[in-house]
Amino acid sequence: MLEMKRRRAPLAQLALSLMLLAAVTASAQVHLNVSKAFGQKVIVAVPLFELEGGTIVDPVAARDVLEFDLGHSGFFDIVGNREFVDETEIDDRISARIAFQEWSALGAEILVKGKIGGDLTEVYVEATIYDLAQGKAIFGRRYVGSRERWRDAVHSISDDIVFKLTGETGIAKTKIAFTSSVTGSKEVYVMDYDGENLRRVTRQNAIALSPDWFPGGEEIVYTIIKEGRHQCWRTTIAGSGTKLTAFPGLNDFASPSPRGDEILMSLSKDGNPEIYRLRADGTDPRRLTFGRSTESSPCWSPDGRRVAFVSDRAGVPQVYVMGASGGTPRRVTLQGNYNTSPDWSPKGDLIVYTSRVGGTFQICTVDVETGETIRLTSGAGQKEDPSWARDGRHVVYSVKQGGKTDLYMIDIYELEPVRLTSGAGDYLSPAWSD
Amino acid sequence: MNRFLIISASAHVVLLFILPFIPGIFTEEEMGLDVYSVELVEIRSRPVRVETPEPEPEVEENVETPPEPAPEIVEERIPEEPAPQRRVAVRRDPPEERESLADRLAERLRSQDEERTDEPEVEQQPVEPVASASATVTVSRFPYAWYLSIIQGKVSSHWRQPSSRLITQDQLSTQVSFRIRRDGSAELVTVRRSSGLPNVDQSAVKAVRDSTPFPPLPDDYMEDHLDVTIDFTVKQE
Repeated sequence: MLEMKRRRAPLAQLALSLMLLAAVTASAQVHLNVSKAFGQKVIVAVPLFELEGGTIVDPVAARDVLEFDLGHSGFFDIVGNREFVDETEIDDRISARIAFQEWSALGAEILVKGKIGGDLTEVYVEATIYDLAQGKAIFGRRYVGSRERWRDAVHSISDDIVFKLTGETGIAKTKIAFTSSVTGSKEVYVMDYDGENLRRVTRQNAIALSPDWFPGGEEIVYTIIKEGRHQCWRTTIAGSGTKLTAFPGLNDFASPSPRGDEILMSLSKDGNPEIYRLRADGTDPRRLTFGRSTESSPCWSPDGRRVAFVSDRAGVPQVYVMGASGGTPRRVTLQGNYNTSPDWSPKGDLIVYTSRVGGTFQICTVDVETGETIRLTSGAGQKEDPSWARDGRHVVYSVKQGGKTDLYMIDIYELEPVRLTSGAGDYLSPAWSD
Repeated sequence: MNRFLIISASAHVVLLFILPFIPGIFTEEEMGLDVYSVELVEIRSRPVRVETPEPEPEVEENVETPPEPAPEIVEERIPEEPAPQRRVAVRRDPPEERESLADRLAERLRSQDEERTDEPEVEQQPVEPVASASATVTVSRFPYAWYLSIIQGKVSSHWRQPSSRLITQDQLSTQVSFRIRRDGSAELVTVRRSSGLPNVDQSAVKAVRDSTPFPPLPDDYMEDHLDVTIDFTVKQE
């Protein structure tokens, strides 16, 4: 931890802030030192949201949402001792000022003061973010919307904090699509990335497979098997859908391009399953692979120039990469004899995939250029179908354990799985929106 | 312009009047160093919180806290996507003496701070040599500790140390410097001091590149860029 923040006499602080008001400086330079992985994080205090007006949003729930978001962003640790946090917050409210030193004494470097107000129909959620070492505000944001959307407002504030303090794009407002057969038929569902706000998308009364998002997080492409026939559909989250393809045989693993104007699919209309590139409306299929092996699970590189897919041309399924117009594929998974379901990182460097390790499916990443392989998961439970979050840091996947399948997310730098689902039924084939 | 001069002049007068009331300001001869010693401890699975010393009660009481700055709150409607708002930094160019006066004042205050910091030590973790490192952070003109923590955290987590089999020394280090622009992008990433091993140098440069974007520079930081130098140290286990 940086020691300099923790001690500054109040008078010195007063004078220093005067000085900072006046001082305009020459170019600043900083000198840091890095030795191995420090896992250093910024420690944030999140007191209870203050309530204003007659809103009925639970301030504890609001705090929980913000703590979950920030605590899982990969950059922040939350001051754990809520009792002290709450006491300090009460002191602040009584004295109507912020006791920066007391907050710092809790170990915090950043303080997030939230307010919720409004009435039964409309709410506003507001937050001011303070730099405790300097005793001053960094920025403030306020979101207004219908009362039911208060979670979105808190998520928005979290993403603002992540951006302002780390420069990264947060994931708090993203969604995860998946399939579940909890209603009897297997349908597509959507939930917020934290497992909340679950809603059903399709009502096909069929078997829905491998949903994936169009860019923008509003539309989903998926496959259904109805009366033995495979079809590919496109739908909004609200559930209004159109059929894209119904070629003879497989119409599977549709993957929208980064610009949303094309899709990749695995079709078997010409014999064995091959990779095709189509327009986003399902027309003009162009075949990219030619061979006697099975080609499936295509996905795009984030620049849209390359394609990763699974092929068993070497006798066992492996992940290959080729140009988005075809060409000679290059095998990228060199370890293991069963590697499937690739997804290309939004940052472009890694592909995450499922790998069978000693009879158990685990989630791994491979560096596309260097071939360096890292296993993200371990232990019992079949882990499958990984999908990247837009930050290139988190991955969602399914875990089958004890006869039930749930969704987990993992931070590729911290490798601590977080369970996202807990309700009845199975949660399969997750896909993370951008 | 005239008004500005008057305001500036009166600000000077106020500052000059405050000076004699700061304890110790005229009693010491030596200027404090611009550099703090900082102890960094590697955290393995969970980050360990550094014990923060108890606030001294007698100093705490009845002491005025700096006036709470009124933040500018930007309002937005859900479900609109929040576009990152950037306030334009207003740059004022004060006369020369003010800068040096303010600098001297800051240095003096800091040297006092440093003296006080001597008593309560940061809890030292009894760890093997590999796990700890010392660092110096020059904070004279960049007092945003959180910003530096974020940079350090990002670069550390993106740094893949090259295989140590090729390394014969007990310890070697690479120094990489770069410039962070106002929007958080990095430029001029260069090896300032080579370790002698190209793959170690490259891994350090890659760590910096992979850590981008960095946070946008703080709104009230007036410069349009920040120059950062990082020492990457490889130690034999």
